[in-house]
Amino acid sequence: MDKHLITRGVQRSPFWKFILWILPWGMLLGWGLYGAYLCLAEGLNQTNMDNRFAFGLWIYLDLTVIAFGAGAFFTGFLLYILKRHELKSVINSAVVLGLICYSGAIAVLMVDVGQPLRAWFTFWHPNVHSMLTEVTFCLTCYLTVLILEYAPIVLKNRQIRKIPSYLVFEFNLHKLMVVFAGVGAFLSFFHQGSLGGLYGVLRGRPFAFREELGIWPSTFFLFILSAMAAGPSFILLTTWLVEKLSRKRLVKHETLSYLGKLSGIMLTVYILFKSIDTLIWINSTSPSSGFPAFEYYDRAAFGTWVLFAEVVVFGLLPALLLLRKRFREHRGWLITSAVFVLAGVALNRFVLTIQTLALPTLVFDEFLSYLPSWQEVATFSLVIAYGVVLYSVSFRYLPLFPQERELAQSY
Amino acid sequence: MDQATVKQSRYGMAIDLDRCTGCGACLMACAVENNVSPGRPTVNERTGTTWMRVIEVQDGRAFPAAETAFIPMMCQQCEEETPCVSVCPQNAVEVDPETGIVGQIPQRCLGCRYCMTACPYHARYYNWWDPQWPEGMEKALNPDVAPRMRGVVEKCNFCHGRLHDARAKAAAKGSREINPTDYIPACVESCPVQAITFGDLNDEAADVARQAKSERAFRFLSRLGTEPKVYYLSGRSWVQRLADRELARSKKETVHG
Amino acid sequence: MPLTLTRRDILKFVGGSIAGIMVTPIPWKLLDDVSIWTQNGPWIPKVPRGALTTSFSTCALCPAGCGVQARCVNGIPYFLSGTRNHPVNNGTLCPSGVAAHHLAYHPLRLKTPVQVTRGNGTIEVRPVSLDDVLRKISVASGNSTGAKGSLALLDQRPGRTVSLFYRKQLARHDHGIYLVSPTDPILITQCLDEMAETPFGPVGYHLENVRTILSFAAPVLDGWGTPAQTSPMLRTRHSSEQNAVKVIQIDSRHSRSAQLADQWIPLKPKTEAALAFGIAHVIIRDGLYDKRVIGRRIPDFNIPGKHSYSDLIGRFTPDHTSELTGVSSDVIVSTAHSLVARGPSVAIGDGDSGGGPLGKEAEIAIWGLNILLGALESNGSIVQRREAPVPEGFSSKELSPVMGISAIPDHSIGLLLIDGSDPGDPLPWSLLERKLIPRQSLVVACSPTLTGLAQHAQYVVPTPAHLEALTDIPTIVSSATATFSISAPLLKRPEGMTDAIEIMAKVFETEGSMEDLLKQRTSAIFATRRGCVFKAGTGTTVPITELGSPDEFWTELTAGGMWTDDPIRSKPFFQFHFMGRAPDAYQRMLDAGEAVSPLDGPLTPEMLTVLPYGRRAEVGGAQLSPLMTKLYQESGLHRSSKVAVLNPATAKKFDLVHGEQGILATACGTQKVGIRVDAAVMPGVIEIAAGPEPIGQAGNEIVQEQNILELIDPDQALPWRAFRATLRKA
Repeated sequence: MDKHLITRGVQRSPFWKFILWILPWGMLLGWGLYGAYLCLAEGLNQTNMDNRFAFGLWIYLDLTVIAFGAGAFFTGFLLYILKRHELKSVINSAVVLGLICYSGAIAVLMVDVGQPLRAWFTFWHPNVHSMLTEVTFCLTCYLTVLILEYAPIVLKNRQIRKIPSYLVFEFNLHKLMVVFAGVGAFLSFFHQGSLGGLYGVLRGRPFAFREELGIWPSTFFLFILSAMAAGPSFILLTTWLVEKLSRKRLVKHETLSYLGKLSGIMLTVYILFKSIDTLIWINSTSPSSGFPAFEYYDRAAFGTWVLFAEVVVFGLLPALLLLRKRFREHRGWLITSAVFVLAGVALNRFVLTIQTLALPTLVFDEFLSYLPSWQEVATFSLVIAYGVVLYSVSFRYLPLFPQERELAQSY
Repeated sequence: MDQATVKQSRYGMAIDLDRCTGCGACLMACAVENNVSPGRPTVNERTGTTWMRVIEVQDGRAFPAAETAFIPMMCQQCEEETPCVSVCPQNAVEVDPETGIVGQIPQRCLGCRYCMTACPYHARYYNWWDPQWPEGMEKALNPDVAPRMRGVVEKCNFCHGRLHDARAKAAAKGSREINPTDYIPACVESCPVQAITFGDLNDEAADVARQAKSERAFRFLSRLGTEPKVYYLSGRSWVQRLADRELARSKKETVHG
Repeated sequence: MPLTLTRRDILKFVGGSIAGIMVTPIPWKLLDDVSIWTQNGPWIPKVPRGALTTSFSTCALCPAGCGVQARCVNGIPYFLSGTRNHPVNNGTLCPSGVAAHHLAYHPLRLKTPVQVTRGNGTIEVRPVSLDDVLRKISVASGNSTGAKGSLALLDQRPGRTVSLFYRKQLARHDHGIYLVSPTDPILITQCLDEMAETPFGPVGYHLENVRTILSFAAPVLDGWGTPAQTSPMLRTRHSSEQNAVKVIQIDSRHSRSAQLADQWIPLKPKTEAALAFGIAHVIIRDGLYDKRVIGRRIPDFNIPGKHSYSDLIGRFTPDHTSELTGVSSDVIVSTAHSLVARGPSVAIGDGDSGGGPLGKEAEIAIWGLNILLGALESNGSIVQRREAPVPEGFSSKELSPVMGISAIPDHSIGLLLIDGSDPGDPLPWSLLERKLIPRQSLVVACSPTLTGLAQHAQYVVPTPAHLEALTDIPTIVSSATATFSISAPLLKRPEGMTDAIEIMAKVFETEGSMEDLLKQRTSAIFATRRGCVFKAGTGTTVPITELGSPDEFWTELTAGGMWTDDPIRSKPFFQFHFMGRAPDAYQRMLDAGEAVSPLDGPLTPEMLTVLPYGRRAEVGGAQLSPLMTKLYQESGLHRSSKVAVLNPATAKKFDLVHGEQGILATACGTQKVGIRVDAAVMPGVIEIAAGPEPIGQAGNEIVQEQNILELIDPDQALPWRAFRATLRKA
């Protein structure tokens, strides 16, 4: 039915099967849109956030997907600037993933702020000292870059290619890819960092507050590093997942192995700095603000196991696995390690968003709990569903994996 | 304006916790003065708007020994590294250099709530609902303070409307300096036991400056280094130890809010 | 060279100008300003604009009668504060008073007379005409003759001038009953009548003299006296001042006064009489009283061969008292000694607005303590005072007696008229209901709002709200002298509001107007030329003799002024029969003292003891500004009637968790409450407010109020300050 739209030389499931796959995601998307609509129309009283838990599921989601989406800039940077051609076979997929993550994050952010119509004030009355200003500027610019990077992939569609002027445009865009990759890397560096800085600057929250290195708190750099570790793992994992779901080989194992290696290296660096940072924080930064650090791990379910899980189980362990070629060659270990990397980064974002707010500051404060409302969960799943749909459509109609045809023939 | 001729003020407060009885008159007067709307039926302690909030604290001992203190908590008007000012992406929070008062511009606020996560005193409130008054009550609003709409953050500003009035009064007399008796925030005015002293901390003769230097004076979370301009006074050692976690721990006492 | 302008030149000039302006700040600043100042949605109310004025009046929300200064815009009050130098409040107001100007906009405000139907959890109202209501009353009133029941008027604010009017009219009616909520001040008056050898008259407290206050559950630091009396005590708490007043609070509840007092002595609920006897025992045992005086003061102190006061007291040894009350014998002894050592001392017994009175016997026991402590002697702090003068025709002989609810037979009231919906002292509807003739009685309330007892009436006639109505403030129980002030309207009343006096006058087929009545009263006061007048406008007090005419006096009173009587200089010799003169007095007092606390009741392990309470001027919904959500819902400072507080150990024992919902149940019903644990609360009890209730309107439905007092067993209701109930997880 839609055969003429599908890339030449690759096999895609019948159209009805595709619709059957999309349908539940579409329904989830609809539910999500309804939840988001309620939040926009009725206000954020629809959520379970409150004055004390002013950030919730959404900010956590934003931080996590943007870290996962870091694969787009990191891969682009390695491919176009450092000329690591191994990554050519996943770059298109990485760009789509990046686009999904960033646009999804921005969409949720627009629901999250109380006055989305005033969002442009940030450009109008920017407070240059605010990490959020930096985030907003870089995110908006980088989303533009991602759209420009996504455009040539769309233009590669079989039918669109038939229009000559589009082909020329695509060709020219392609020549500019180096520039985009450079700009993207620059912008990403800052907003990934600023997202980390978001919490690091919170002097009033000694659980999150970190000493400054230069003009940025240490979390600024930790976020960049952890995002660079998470990005490749996320591409690795999605590629593997798409292979499983579509029952096709899409990239060579070396590529996946290379992504794993990248992740492993970055994670090792990250864990090293994270450990140093944690030690400084426990022994100096936090106590000097009058907050004994062990108290943080003395509340409800948030024991020291959280820190252990973040640094050792989901940090050191996958890092060591991914650094060893033997484990990388093994599919099972490779995928498990990637999952662990992502879990570690997600846990880090969770701890910074949720634990920071749950912990008391004043002596007579209580430890707080928060459970998102269904409207929040719906808006969250809106992004997931949107991501799956956009990726599925892109996978079906656009050449996301250049090696696919070659691998299909070799079978 | 010629800065040299205008006196630089640092408005601050000293709140005597040994006097405070937890009656709540300050809390109500604040809400009346600043046109804060009544809560919706489902509002609770965490979604309500109380620029001035009085917190009941016990010393952690059990029946019948428990001792109680009441802590009026509002924006502490941090002077250094003001946590909420630096985080706002669109300059909706500003410190007035003339008065030292941390001001909120709700008309410019995006509602991102970053400032709320930054405030260790939980003194900032978000409008989860549009304000709503029972029919006719809008005619009884304070003419000096504009109501805020849904989706923005607000907080204590030492009764900005009253500062404005005091300035207008001074200007009518051809003076730039306001008369201290003309500028008294609503909570200070309404306290039945005069537990709150307000004034210019730079004015050595002012009661508030004297009290801030008293032996009984302390500030909450002062080790964060934000130099709040709201001082608390108590002669009770367990109350003084509430200032800081390290202090509270040092005496091996647990405290319940 | 001639100047020629082509169209092109003009276009270039305009274009250039526009481009030029764009690099100046003008357009950007303009955009900036527009973006800021257009950001408040059009649906957000605009603040009122208009003339700013200041007016004075008197707050009528509670018996204190604080002076109120109102800042107004267009004549409408927008900020209330206390009148400077006012003898009652000296510039301060309580939180209810601060928001009192909102009561005119109460969400449950009535606009027309209504017929009320109670549905399942909600209330429906149907507008009716005033004539309809009057016709119904007239029929019921005609029926209210002896056999068919009596006509009762429940006065929720006894002691006002209009109360005298009601009593006068009821006295003329064959079966008229003047009914009030039971309170300790009313009980004390009854006790004194019973005990005094010669009529004693009203008493007041001269707290300026006192160094130690022994409070039996009275909210002395939280609304018992006037702010002018309590503020100085509160200001010197925790100070090292030698003469600072020391407050010893005897209270089963961890009440606000218990929190603020210098010493809190928790005792088992309903054992106040035993503790008073126990302290008296130590004073007598250790000879700490003035023996010369006491023998003469108390005729029944020691009667050979008969049960006497000293026999009674003799039984309450510290050990025995300790067993009964749960207070350790050391504390009983040391309290007795410190009361004498740190004199002058006074014992005050008065239940709060929600818990109701301590009871007659407990009051007599406390009264005995006062005589032992010398509080009634010439340098003591309990003083006699006069009543504020009343106009001719209102002498006590011409008035219907004041009746408590227990004096009325069941199923005897055919027509119940209620003045005011929300009293300072609530009366449980279940108690009232059983006094009504089933299915044949008519209940009509005059109330500004559909709250409190008005929710139980068949018809409600809307009256002007607080600060719209003209009313007077009688003397507060704590005052050492008679006082009189008037709450004059600051707001114009809406169409369709009727003063309760007009309805009642129609019922009794007579004439009545609040203004005429109050003018008569002020003239009567003025005629005595006694006392002095506080003028709100200047903040000064002048002798009444400086005022030229009753009209001038009226003008001052209606502008936030206040009249204060001269104190009675000499104390007359008095004698009290300590156990009263009734033959069974000894046994009655003994039973009261030996009564077992509900806490020690029969061993049914699931039973907890409920201690209801209420803060003055905050118990009833009609007294609550919609903004009071700040205190009850948006902060935990005051607790609403939906929150049950208990000791953590008790909670654990009954498997109840802080923050969860529970079901409170007695044989008379159940109520849903939120559970809160508090380490300071006595184990085994539940502290719960009798009000206020979060304002009961969800959407267009009016939700029925649920008062904890409705769970009281009407058979053994009085006093209801402690009763047994179960609390389980919802």
